Amino acid sequence: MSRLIRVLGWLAALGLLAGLVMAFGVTPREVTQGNVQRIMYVHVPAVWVAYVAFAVVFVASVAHLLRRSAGADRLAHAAAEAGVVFLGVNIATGSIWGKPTWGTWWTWDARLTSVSVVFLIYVGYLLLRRMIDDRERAGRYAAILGILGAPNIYLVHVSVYWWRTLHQPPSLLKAGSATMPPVLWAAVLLNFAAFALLSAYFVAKRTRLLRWEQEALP
Amino acid sequence: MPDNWGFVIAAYAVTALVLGAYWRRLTRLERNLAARIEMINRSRETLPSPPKPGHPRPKPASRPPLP
Amino acid sequence: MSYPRRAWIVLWKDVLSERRSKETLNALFFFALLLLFVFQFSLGADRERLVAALPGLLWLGFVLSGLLGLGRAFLGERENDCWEGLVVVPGDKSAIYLGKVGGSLLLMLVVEAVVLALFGIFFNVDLAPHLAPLALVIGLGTVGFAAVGTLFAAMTAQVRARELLFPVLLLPVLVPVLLAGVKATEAVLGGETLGAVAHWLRLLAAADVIYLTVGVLTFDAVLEG
Repeated sequence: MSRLIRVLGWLAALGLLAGLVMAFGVTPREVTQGNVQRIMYVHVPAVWVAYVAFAVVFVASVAHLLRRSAGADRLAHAAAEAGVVFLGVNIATGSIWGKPTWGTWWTWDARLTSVSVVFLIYVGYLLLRRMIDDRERAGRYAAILGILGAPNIYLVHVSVYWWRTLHQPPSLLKAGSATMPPVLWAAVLLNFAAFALLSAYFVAKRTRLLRWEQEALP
Repeated sequence: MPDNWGFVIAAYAVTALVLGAYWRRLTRLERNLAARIEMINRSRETLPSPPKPGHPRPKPASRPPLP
Repeated sequence: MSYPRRAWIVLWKDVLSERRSKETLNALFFFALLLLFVFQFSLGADRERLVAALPGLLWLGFVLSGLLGLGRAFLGERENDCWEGLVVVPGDKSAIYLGKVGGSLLLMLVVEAVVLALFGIFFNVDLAPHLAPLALVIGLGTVGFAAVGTLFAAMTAQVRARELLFPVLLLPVLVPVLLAGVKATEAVLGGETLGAVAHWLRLLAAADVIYLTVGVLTFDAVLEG
C-alpha cells in the first residue's frame, strides 16, 4: 500500500510538471484577456477535483451509515479534507483572477458565491468531526452531513445562479465557454488529471494516517 | 489588455503554497504517528513479564483448618 | 403503537410543555421586538432604504429567531436526562424526528407571524393584500428550515460547543432556502403573482423534500447513543 501511495505521489508530481509546461509553454496568449487567462489552468481543475471529492464523501457516507464500515468513514473524512483544500485553491485563484479582470478582489457573481457557500458547508463538516469527542458518533454524524451536502450543492448552485442572473446581466467571466480553442481545453484537462492524481495521493495518504491513529494508537 | 503577469504568478504561487502546506501537514503527521507507533512497539518488547507475587504463598489445602 | 401516533405524541408533548411554560415563545416574541429596534437603528431613518430592504430584513428576523428557537429543540430532553429515553424507543426513530419537526414548525410559524405583524406596524407597511402568497412562501421556507434545523439540533445537542456549531452548520446549508425566500417575498410584496415566482417555489419544495427525506432516513443514526 505504501508503495502504491508513493507511486501515486510521483505520478502526481510528474503530472503537475507537465501541466505547468502546458500552461505556460504550449498554450498561446489568449486574445481577449491576455496572459492573465492562464490562471484558468489551475482555477477550473481545482473545483472539478473538489466536487469529485465531495461526491466521494457522499458515497462513503452512505456506505458508512449502511454498513458501519470504519474504512468508509476514514475515506469520507480524507476526501472532505482534500475537497476543502482544492476548493480553497479555487476560491483564492478566482479572487486573484477577478482583480485585474473585474477590477475588484471580490464579487458576488454566481460561481464565486456558490463555491464559497459549498466551501463553508464542508468546513462545517470538518469542524463537526473535530468537535465531537466520541469517534464513533463523530463518524455517524459526519456521514449525515456528508449525505446532506451533496444534493445541497446542487440547490446552492441553482439558487445562487437564479439570484444573480434573473433581472441582472450574466457574469462577465465565462471561463468554460464552448468556443474555447482545443489547445486551451487540453491544458485544462491535463491539469485536471494532474490535480486528480494529487488529490488521490492526498486521500490515500490521509486514509492510511487515520487508520494508524485508530488502530495502532489507543 | 495588459498582461498582468504579477497576478498570474500570484495565483500559481497561492496554489503551490496551499497544496504544499497540506502535503507538508500530511508528511509531518505521518512522521509523528510512525514515531509514536515505533515507541509503543518498542516499549511492548522491552516490558518485563508481569511480576510474580512477592513470596510463595502456601497452597490453600495446606493450611490448617480454622477452629 | 403506530408510526403516526408516535410522531403525534412527540409533537403533542412539545406543544403541551411549551403551552404550559411559554418560556421559549415569550423569549422569542421579545427577541423579535428587539430585532425590530436593531434594524431600525442600524438602517437609520431613511424609510425608502428600509422598505427596499424589507424582504431581506424579514427573513433575517426569521433566521435569527429560528436559530434561537431551534437550538433549543432538544433542550428539554437534554436537561431532564431524557436523551437515553429517546435512544431506547423501540421501532423506527424517524417518527420522533417528524414529531420534533412538527413542533419546531409550529413554534417558528407562530414567531414568524408575530415578526410579520410587528414589521407591518412598526415600519408602516401594508402587508394585508399580499398575505396569502406571502403565507405560502414563508410556509415552504419554514418547513425546510425546521427540517434541517431539527436534524442539526439533535446532532449538536450533545456537543461541547453546541451554541457555536449549530449556526455554523445550519446557515450555509440553508442558503438556498434563504435566497428563494427573500427573492420570492420581494416579488410578492412588489405585487407579482405566484406564477412569477413559481421557480423559487419549486426550489423551496424540492429543498423541503430533500431535507425531510434525509432527516427521516438518517435519524436512527442520530439517536444511537
